[in-house]
Amino acid sequence: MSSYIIKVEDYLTPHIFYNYLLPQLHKYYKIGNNENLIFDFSEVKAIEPLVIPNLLCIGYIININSNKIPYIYISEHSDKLKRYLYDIKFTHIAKTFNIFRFSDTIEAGLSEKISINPNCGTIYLNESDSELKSWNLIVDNFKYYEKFFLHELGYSYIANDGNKYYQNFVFKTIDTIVENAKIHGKSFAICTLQYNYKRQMNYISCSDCGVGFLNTINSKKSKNLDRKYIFKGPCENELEAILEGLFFRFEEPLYGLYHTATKVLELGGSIHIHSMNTQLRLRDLGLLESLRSLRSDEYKIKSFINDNTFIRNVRTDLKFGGVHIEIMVPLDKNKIRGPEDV
Amino acid sequence: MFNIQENDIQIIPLNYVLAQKNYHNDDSYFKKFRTDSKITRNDIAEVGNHIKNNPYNYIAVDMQHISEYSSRSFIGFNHYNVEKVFFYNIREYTDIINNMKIDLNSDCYIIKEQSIVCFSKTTEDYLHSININEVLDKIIIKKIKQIVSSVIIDKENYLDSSSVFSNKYINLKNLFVNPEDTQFIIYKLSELAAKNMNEYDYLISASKTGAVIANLVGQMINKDVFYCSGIGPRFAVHLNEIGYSIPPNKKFMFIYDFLCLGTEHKLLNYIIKSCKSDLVGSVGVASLIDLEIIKEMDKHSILAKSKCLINILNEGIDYKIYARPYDNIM
Repeated sequence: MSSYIIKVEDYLTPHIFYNYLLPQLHKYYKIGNNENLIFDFSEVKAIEPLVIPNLLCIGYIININSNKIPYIYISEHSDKLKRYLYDIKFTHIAKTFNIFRFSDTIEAGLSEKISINPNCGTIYLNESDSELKSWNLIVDNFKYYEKFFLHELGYSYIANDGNKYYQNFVFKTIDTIVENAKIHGKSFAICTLQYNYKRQMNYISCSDCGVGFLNTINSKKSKNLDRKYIFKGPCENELEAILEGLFFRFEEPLYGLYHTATKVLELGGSIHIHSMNTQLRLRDLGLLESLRSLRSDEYKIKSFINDNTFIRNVRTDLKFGGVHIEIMVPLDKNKIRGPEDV
Repeated sequence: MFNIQENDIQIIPLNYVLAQKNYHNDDSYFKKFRTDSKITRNDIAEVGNHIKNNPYNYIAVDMQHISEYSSRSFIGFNHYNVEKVFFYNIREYTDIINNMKIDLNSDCYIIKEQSIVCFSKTTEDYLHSININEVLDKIIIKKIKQIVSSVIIDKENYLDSSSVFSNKYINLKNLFVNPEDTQFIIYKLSELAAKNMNEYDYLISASKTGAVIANLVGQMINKDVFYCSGIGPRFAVHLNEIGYSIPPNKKFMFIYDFLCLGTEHKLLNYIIKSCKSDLVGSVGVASLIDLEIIKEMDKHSILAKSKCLINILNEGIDYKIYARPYDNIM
């Protein structure tokens, strides 16, 4: 049987992922062929951390839909890429949960030069995992991140018991997103935390293959929860649902997506929220604030989100199941270069 | 739910309760002793049910080592009988106090300087009237003293390593008769050993009881254990044999059961040093010599880096040592 090959070139960034890889995949399904799927990574030089959970989710979805494990071809000579995928545990997760197949040499001939800092990593959280286990997993996997970076950047403090701790907004952000994926999305969650010291940037990305914002919010609304929503009836599209989800815990001044987004934007980062076919990109606090100020008026907010200035931040042509949240936070506010445009 | 009582106060050490729950969990992600614990809604509901028909005047919930709780868990907590409850040792600079305030609709009293949250004016007044942290620490030390006293045998004993006689024998082997006491002591030792956990690679023990304790502590904090059993004048081990088993360029933390005069410490320090490794400190259940004084007077001694749960002389246990048998009768 012949194989259908999707070739990926140079750098796999979220931009390439959404504009090139995803359409190719839809094309493969449109033809309706039953061929084996191969992702050809032989010319890939680097993968941006934000793509990693999305890539794993794609593998999972292909596996569920066609009952075939897709194949990633990495040239024997791409020792740096192999080392990177090995170090961030991509290879481990893909193999353990039968998401991707690789050639036998994937774990051999790794580059001796460490391409990333080993404190980075990717974790897989089952839907059935308890809240406590998820927290422990996050803390245990990323604890060196705490020690080396938050300390270096002055986020450490001596608490009342005389020990040193860290003001850790990163773990909290991850925990909030992961819990949402498990409780509302009813799915597993894959999460990655990496940083690039040269760019002074933290990359947090979390993906699930759940039901998306629209289904969750509409089922909540049908239960007549006593809460002020932006839109009175059921949400019409994913964008409306994302906005409802964003402002769902708005009145409780510490929890939920709104406060996570505010914190990220305050630190000069950016947050991209993608649900099913819609992606909302929040890059400055001003946009979030204007959404917040209008939220009590349904008519005004409807005209605002259909306005040209807002539509630039929304894409509605990205067919990809589940919820995918990509966050970039500068390591140090004083050294910001500005979030990279992808 | 595990608790420690004294007069009219009952203490619930929440992190210890969590550790107890996770003790039999095989999953490696539930490391038994954690300094970054998260409490869930169920844990808080359990506390609520525990305080329902509680006869004590004050119930202190110890929040030490807890850095996070599930969002919105404290909503409705004030519907239990919370007038006599207070949460103390809440970690500074975390959002816990703020979150609790929001969850409880500001229906609580916050004593910022002591990191305490309580729920009634009478409790707040009581907490202002005394130094509560000191009182609670004393209660916990009293509990440890009670446990250590229960294993003391009133019989003259020869201490091999220090070559002296004592009027009592602190038989810490008997600790294992009562599993609840053992767990508490092991938890407290783990707490001490975990304080500077990044500074050492392995735990090491020098006696048989010490080996068992070190093993249990190692399980709690995920550290491997080396056994150097039987160090002392009588059971000296040939250096060549040890040289093969103690790896060079590593750092060790010594776990002991009872520290009498510190001969074991000095010998072990020498043995480890001769293998080109380092002894960074020690942690144990009880000591005879006052470690605080050594810390002040002889900073370079290996004993200055030692920590223990209680000093038996300070706690009023009548323990004497002498050079010849029956000298204490005179």
